[in-house]
Amino acid sequence: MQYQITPYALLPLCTALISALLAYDTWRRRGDPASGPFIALTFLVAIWSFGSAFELSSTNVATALFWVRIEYIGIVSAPVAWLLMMLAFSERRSTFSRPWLAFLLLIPLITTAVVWSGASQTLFWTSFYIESLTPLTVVRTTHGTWFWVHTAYSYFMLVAGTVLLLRGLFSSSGLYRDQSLALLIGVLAPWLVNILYISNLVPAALPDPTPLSFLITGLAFSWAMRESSLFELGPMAYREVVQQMSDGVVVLDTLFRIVDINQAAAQAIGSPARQLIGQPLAQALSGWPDLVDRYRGRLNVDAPTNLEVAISSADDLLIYDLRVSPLLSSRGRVTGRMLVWRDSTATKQAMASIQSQKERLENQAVALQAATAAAEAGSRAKSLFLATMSHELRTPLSAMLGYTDLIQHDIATNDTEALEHDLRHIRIAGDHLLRMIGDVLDYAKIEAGKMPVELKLFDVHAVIEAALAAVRPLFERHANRLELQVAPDIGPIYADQLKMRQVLINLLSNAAKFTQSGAITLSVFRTPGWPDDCPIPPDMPIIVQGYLNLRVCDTGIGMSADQLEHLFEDFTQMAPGTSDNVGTGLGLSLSQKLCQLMGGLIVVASEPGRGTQATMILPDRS
Amino acid sequence: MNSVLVVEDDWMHRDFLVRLLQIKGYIVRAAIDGESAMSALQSHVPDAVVLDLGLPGISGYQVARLIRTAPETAGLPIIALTAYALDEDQHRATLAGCNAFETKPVDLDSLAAKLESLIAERSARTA
Repeated sequence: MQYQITPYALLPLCTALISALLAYDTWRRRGDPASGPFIALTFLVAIWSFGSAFELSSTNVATALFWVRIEYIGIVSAPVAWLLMMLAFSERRSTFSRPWLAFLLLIPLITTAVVWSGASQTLFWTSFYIESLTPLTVVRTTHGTWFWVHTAYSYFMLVAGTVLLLRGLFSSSGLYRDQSLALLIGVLAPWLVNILYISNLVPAALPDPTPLSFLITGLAFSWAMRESSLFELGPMAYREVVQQMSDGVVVLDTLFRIVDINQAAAQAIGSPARQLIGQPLAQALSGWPDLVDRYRGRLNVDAPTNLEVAISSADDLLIYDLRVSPLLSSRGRVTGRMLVWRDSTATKQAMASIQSQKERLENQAVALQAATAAAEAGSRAKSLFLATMSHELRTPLSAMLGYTDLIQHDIATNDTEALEHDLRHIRIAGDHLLRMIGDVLDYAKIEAGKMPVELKLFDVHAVIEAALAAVRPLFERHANRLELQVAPDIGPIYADQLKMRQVLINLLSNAAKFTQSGAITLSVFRTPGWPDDCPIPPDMPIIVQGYLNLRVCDTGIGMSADQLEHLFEDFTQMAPGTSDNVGTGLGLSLSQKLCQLMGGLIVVASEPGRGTQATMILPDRS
Repeated sequence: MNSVLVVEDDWMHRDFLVRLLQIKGYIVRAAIDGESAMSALQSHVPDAVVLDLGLPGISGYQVARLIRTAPETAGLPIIALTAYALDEDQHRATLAGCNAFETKPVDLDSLAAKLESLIAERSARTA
C-alpha cells in the first residue's frame, strides 16, 4: 500500500475522530430512544470519514479501492441510520422490529456486497482510476447501474427522514426555540452540502463533504440531546408518564382512528397497542357495541368535555370519568382528539358509601332526637299523670276529711240529721275514690294489653237504663233535662256490656258536668255504614252489619278546637273537681280506649258556648 | 261578723266548706263558678274570698285577676284552693293576686287562721 501525506485528508480524519468520539460518548450514556440510531449514524460517519481520509492519502488504485470499499460500509448504511434517528426523534420510537430493519438494510447490504465483490467493476463502477493532480492523486470513478439504485435509495432515506422530523418539529408545541433550531440545522445540513456538491460549487479536488454534513447533523442533534436534555427529560418523560399512567389515554384523528394509545388503554381494551394503532375507535371497541353507539356523538366536541361513562359487565358496573380534549392545529383547526379516562368506580362507590353513611348518621340523629323528644314527652306525661292523679285522689279524700270535721261538730251538737247527711257524703266520696282507683287499674290493664273483653249478646235498652240511673243525681244537681231518643226496636247488640255501660255513663256525666240548667239528649240509632256526620278514622275496619250509635248532645259550655284536639290524650282533659257521684278522673281517655277494645270509636264535635256532641260508635256484630 | 264568699264548683266541697266556715262564725255565701262569683261580688262585697282555682269556664286565676282589677274589690283578701299541690300552682296563684294558698284536703284550722289574719290585716290597713 502506498500513501501520501495530504492536508485534505485532515478534514475527513477530524470528522472521523469527532464522530467516533460522539458515538462512544453517546454509547456510554445511551438510554434515549434516539441514542441507538444516533450511535449507529455517528459510527457509520466515522467509518466513512476514516475511509475517506485514507482514500485521499492513497496513491495507487488497489489501496484507494480498499479504502473506498471501507468507506461504503458507512455510506450505504448512514442514510438508513439517519432515517431511523429521525424516526426516533419524531415518533419517539426506540425499538424497530427486525423485519423492518432487515427491509431497510436490504439495499445497503446488497450494495455492500456489490461493492466488495468483483461485480463492482461492472455494476457499480464502470471505471475506477487514480488521477494524478499536482500535488496529489485523486480517485476518479464512473458509475454503474447499482450505484444509481444505491444513490436513489440513499436520497429516499434522506427525504423520508427529513419529512418525518420537519413534521414532528412543526406539530410539536413543547419544544424550545433553540432546540428546534438545532434540529433544523441538523436536518438541513446534509441537504445544503449535497446541493453545493451537486451544483459543483465545491472544488472537485476536495473530498466528498457528505460525511462532514452528517457530522454537523450529529453535532446538532447531540447538542439538542445533551445541552437541552431534549429527549432525555422532556418529551421522553411525558411519553413515559403517559405510557405508565394508570389512566387510559387514546389519541384519535379526525376520523376517530386511533393514532396513539397508552398501555393502560390498550390493556383496558384488551389488545396490544401496536394492533390498535390505526384502527377506528368503533372497531377497537367492538366488544362494547352499545358504548360506541351511546357516546358516538358526544366525542365529536371542539372544546374539552368531561363525560361519565358507565359500563356494565356481567357482574359489575364500572364508572369512568372520561375527558375529551380536542387537539388543535396552530390555526385552531381540530386535528384530532385525546381521550383520557379514569376508572372512578371505586371513588364513586366510596362517595356513595360515605353518602349513605352520612344519611344513616343523619337518620340516627333524627331518630335519637325523636327518641329524646318522646322520652321527654313521656317524662312530661308521667309528671302530668302524677300531678293529675294527685289532684284526682285528693279531691274525694278532701271531701271525706272535710265531712269528718263536720261529723265531729254534728256529734258535739247532737245533730243526727246532719250526721246522717255527712256520713252519706263520706260514703259517696269513698265510692268515687274506689271507682277512680278501679279506673286507674283499668287504664293500667289497657296499657299493658291485659284488659279482657267479654263479648256477649245483650239488650241495648238495659244498658241505657242502667247508665241513666247512674247519672240521674248528677243531672238533677246541674238542673239538666234529659231527652231520650231511642228506637223501640233498637234490639240487642253483641259487645262487652260493662264496658259499654261504663263509656255511656262517662259520656252522660261529662255532658251533665259541663251543662248547667240545660238539655242533654241521648239518641241511640243504627246506621248501615259509618255515620255520615262523623269523620271516618283512617284505620277503622269496614263492618258490613252496620253500626250502633249512642250519641250524647248537650247545651253546655262546649270546647275550643284546641281543647278538642287534646280531648283523648291521657289525663290532659279532665273535669275539675270530681267528687260527683258518677264519672271518674280518667274520663274520655279511658272511655275511648274501652270503646276501641270493642272495635268502636268515640267521635266528639264541639263549639265553645254551643255545647258538645259525643257519639259512641260500636260495630254491630249481632 | 265577717263574711266570706266560697267559690267552688265541686258540690261536696262547696257543701262542707260553707258549713264548716259557718261553724267558725262566718257569714258564708257560695258561688259555683267564676261568673256567679263575679255577680255575687257585685251585689255584696264580703270580707274575704275562698277561691277554688280549678273552675270550669272562667278559671280561678282569672277570677282572682278580675277581683284585683275592680276598685271596690281590689283589696279583698283571696285564699286560693286547689288539689294541685305543686309549687308552680302556688306561684301562679300569687301572680294572679291571691294572698294565701290552701291545698286540698283542706285543713280547716289553717284555713280559718289564714282568713282571720288576712281580714285583721286588711282592717288594720284601712283603719
